[in-house]
Amino acid sequence: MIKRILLVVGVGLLLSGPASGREYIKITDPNFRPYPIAIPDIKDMSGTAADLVRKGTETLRFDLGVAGVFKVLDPRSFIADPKQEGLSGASINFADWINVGAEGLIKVGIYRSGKNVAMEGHLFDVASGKELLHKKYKGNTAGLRKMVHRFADAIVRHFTGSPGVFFTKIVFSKRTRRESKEICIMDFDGRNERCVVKNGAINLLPAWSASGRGFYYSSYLHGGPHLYLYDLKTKKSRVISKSPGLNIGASAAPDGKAVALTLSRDDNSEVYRLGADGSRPRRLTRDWAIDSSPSWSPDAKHIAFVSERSGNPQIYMMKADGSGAKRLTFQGNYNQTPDWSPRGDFILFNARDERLVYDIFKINPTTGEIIRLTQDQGNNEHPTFAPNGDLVVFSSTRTGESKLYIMNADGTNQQLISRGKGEYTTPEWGPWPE
Amino acid sequence: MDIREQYAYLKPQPMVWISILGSAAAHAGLIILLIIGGLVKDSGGREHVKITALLKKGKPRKKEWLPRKEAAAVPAPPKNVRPSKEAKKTDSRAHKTSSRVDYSKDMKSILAGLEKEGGKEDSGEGSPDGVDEGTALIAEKGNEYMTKVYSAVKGQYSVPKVITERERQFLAATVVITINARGQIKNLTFEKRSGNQVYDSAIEAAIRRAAPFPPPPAELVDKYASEGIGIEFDARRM
Amino acid sequence: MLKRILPICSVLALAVLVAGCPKQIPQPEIDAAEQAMVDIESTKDCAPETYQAAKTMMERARALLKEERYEEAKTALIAAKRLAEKAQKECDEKRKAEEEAARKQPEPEPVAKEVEIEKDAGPDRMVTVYFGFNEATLTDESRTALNNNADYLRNHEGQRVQIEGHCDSRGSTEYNLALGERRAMAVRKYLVKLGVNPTRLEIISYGEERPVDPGQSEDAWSQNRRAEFMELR
Repeated sequence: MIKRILLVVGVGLLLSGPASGREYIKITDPNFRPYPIAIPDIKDMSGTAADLVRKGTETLRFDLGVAGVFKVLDPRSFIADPKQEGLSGASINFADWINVGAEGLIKVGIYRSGKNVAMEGHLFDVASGKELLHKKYKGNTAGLRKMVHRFADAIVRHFTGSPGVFFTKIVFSKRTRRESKEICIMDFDGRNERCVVKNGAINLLPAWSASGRGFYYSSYLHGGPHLYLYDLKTKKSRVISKSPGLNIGASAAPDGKAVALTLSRDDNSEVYRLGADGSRPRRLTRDWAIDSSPSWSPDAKHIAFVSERSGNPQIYMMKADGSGAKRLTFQGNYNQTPDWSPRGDFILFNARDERLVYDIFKINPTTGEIIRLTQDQGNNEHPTFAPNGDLVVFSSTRTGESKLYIMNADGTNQQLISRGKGEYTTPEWGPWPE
Repeated sequence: MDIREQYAYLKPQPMVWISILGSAAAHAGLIILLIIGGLVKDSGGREHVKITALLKKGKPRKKEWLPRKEAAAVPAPPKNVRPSKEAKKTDSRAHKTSSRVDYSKDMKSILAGLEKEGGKEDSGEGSPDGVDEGTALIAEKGNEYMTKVYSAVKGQYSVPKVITERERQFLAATVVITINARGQIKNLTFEKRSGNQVYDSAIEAAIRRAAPFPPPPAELVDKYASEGIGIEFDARRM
Repeated sequence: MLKRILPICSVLALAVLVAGCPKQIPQPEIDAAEQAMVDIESTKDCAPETYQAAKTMMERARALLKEERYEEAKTALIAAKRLAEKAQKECDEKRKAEEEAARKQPEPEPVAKEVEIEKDAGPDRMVTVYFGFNEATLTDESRTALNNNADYLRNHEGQRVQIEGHCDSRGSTEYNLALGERRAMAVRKYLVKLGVNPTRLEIISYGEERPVDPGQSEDAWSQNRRAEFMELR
């Protein structure tokens, strides 16, 4: 009896196989919807803060818009009566906010007396009417933007668990005259631009030190170009590397212990690493081709770089001691300027596509998958990540002259941040402030 | 009982042995066919699952070029496991037009040609009901309906941004739904959960928002009502 | 019963085994071709066409490997290696010929010096040398221009010169600094071959930082891909 059953079962198994079964479809690539948040105009509580209120509202909307996880609703669609509503939950008619599609609501009030300013901010969950945050800040009129940034930071932390980038800075190179280029710094939103290295020579390729207390840059001031380190406090530069040939493209190791750069002292562009003060140079790449543009992984164990050893520039990675060089990009034939995400999951780079346009892409170094971030918007170059890995700064010629833009790490929400005239190039987003 | 008597019941059933041998030979032959067709590596261990080929819409792109941003970037390789005659024709045509560059020409002239053309591609075959991600050029009954289900669910597939870039790399879940003759969902179960409650809720909501689906074709009503349709989700980008 | 099932099972098992076998990657051919490619990098200048053909064939092979078309890739790899060896041979032969020519070159000089009375003082200035996109190799035109510059330097003994390498604005700042340097180095190497004392020749790269024409057209770009000569005091 058992043998008969086994026989039938055996035949049944043999007869089964790929011929029948449930069909499956595969769905990927979801829409990531941002959290809709309403930011009505900040209230002037003392009647004397009209200009502060305007500045503050603009800054708050910009900050939360940039953060990437929010959709800042158009204030022109609001139906609530600003005169009737106050800052407290009891004074708010939440139905008015549900009806414009808000899930979060921010109410801020500013009191001003002379030079003194007090700011009060509330964050509400619209569906439940619950207050999620209540913050107070004090300072003077000049410090208003900082107060707003701190409130925005608190809101971002509440939703994502990570800090906002509102106190970070961007260093870049700017050309206003034909013969020279200066190194300048701006806030993440393009404000407070100031040029700190202006010596009449060509100054290039700035890169923050790991602490953010200064930045490396290359300069033709004494020939070269040589590599210098500028200290933001002392406002002075000191020489880090002046070997014959090129001393360019510095990238500080995230642990602050080393700096990688390109030297051509052996008659060929190669990637070297030095101590953070320029001592003990060690050569990392060894081949006949141009090797340049190093960028450290966040754990300081690997370095991404550009090499044309295959015939044209491609993105490679190697261990921090120079061993195990491995090619990463196999699409496109002109790939440059790698920048490793602080999360380690992607490497940004700039590439020329088949239409000979320069655009920004990112590659997953484990899977090799390439995702495109810019398209049909002029030439877009030199992308670098913000320290949270969610935002990118880059240069773009979409309006003619090269200017600086920021965008989310998925390519959405691109906006201009540089405000002045001239050619803005090679931006690098700074680390978290200490 | 001697051996002959023990196994006596087998004797009058030569048909059983013939069917076993025939089936084994057929399976061996099938496996060899699959190896030759190079399709075995795609199934990755889940031999009982057949991923339906969706109808293709639009033109493919050369593999050595960087991707473009629209969804019709690189078409997925055709996963149609049934080696029927029609499917074979489909496969070879899709292969010719999508991923194989003619390496017999001199590479320089190819590149020069590329730069001039700016990417002239193939016939743009497919079906007007098709989707950009599809790969099958000819509608067979099953994949026409599956494409409709795909479009409906994909259109509702949205996930809150609370899920970070890192998480989206590995989140994956599979849902099985059974559909009645009117296209309404009879039953929805998770064959595999992702481990992230927010993500799983979003998937379920997407499927429910997409329903009711169009009524399934008559010959598939029973299949979809009992066996159902499986939907594998992940959160990676195209 | 067992006797009959055993052959069936072994047929099935064999089929499964064959299914599990991976396709054959031609590893020895890959290693040989890659080694050959590394060896011939120095032939980029002296056997450019064969060099380029070898590179192209290698790229083709890599693309085929990526697509797992291993048989065709193997053929391409072997072809790439053969082309590489051909480039190496061409270079060796050329080098021999050049050395002979260089040895022969100084001869005309004494003749020119004698004819100095005839007001033929040689070239009055040094000329700029131009390059193709992403190239640091000298064209025939460049070589003629450099012959001119070498003459000038011979007639102005002790004059030191800075060779400046430049690029057009396409591509990254950093890469263009390296490429500009390559161009300056190629020029210096050639001048030294023509007999100019290397201590008179300094090198600097300005990458894309000092274009002569700021335009964004092929015309403008071709003007910027250059090596210039600055006389040093």
